[in-house]
Amino acid sequence: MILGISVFAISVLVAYFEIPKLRNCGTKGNVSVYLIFLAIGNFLVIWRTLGLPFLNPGDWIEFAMRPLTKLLLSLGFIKV
Amino acid sequence: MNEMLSSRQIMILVLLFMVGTTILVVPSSLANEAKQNAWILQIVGTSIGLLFLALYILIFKRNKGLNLFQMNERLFGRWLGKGISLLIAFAIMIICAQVLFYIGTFITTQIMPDTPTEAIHVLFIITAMLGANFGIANLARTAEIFFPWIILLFVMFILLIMPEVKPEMLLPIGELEGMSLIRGTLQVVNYSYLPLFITFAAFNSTLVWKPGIGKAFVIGGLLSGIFLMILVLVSTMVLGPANSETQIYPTYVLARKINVGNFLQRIEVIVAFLWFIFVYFKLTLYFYAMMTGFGEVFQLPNQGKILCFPLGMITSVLSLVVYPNFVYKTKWDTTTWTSEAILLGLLYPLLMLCMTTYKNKKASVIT
Repeated sequence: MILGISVFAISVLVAYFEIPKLRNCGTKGNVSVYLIFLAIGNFLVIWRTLGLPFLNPGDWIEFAMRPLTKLLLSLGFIKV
Repeated sequence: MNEMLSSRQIMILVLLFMVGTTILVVPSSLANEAKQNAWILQIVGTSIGLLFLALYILIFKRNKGLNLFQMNERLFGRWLGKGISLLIAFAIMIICAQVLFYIGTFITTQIMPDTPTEAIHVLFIITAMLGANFGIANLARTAEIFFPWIILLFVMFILLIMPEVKPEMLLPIGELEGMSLIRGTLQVVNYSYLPLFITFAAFNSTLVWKPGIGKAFVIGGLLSGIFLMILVLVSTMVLGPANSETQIYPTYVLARKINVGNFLQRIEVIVAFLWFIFVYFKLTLYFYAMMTGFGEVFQLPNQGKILCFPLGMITSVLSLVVYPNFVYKTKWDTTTWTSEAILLGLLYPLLMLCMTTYKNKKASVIT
């Protein structure tokens, strides 16, 4: 938990320096995109530090690639 | 425009990128396919890989001044293009996490077993974030500085291991099955050549297509092939095919064998240093591509450099979960990674080439 809070503190610090720069050179949308990414990052860090079960994105890719993998397996191009 | 890359810099970046994680994985998986003839697979893989490079160069040249994500928008229309770009950026994020996992496991299993993996991942991703933040031109200059050292260390490594070499380990030559030739070649192409497209296309906009640039790509590819072939040959001749097949990091075990006159020993860290450089550049190039991808999709200024910190955070967390265990990793790498690499490095570029030809024809008909 302490790790999560300290990472959050670091991201607030980084955001404090980055957001004024973004405001000066871009539109408001840029700031919101930045904040969304930062929130996702913080959420993942806190989720991980709490030790909660994690969905593995590798599994999603495996699911998406399954037809091609099956084709390659049946042709003998890959061997498990 | 100070972001232009010279052909020498391109050559070095291609070499570093291709050797990248391949150096960790390929010697043992090739020995698994072809035993003592693994080096033949490496040669065949390199020569077929050069065909892929020709395809990529063709696409890069026909879409001068555009990076991969701008190409997507031009070729597939605005919204479909953005969708494809987002998917690719997400895929690169996962690849980044996997590369980070590779280096983390290597360090924790071989060099620093008591250090938590998280610490290594975070330190490594911070350097990659800095590298990507400074831009591709600075990265290329750094690569130029490291290049002589890499060659020096590699030559030193090969020379010092020479006393242990047993050439009879290579016999009998040419005992190869047809299918294992195809599988081994696919492995080489898969780890070195196919991921090159999405990464190098991401900074195609900074390439100025002088005559030497295409040649630089090819020379980089050839050099990386020679590099890996020497490694595979030496690892077969020193460890023997059965041993290099069962080791997870055969080249590292190889370096442990260095023993010159019972005096010069335990210098395996020179190999580890080589790997850090290779993997660092591979990771940073991926990271740069990912950052550019998200930046282009959300139309952020400076190619999305602002997203560097959040993306680094997400990647470092993902790197801890992306491979839950070693068995999963081996299975994922042989099955899913092969199909993913074929999709991103062969089918997608072919589709892009068709679309480019179609668009260019349409443009010429209108004018």
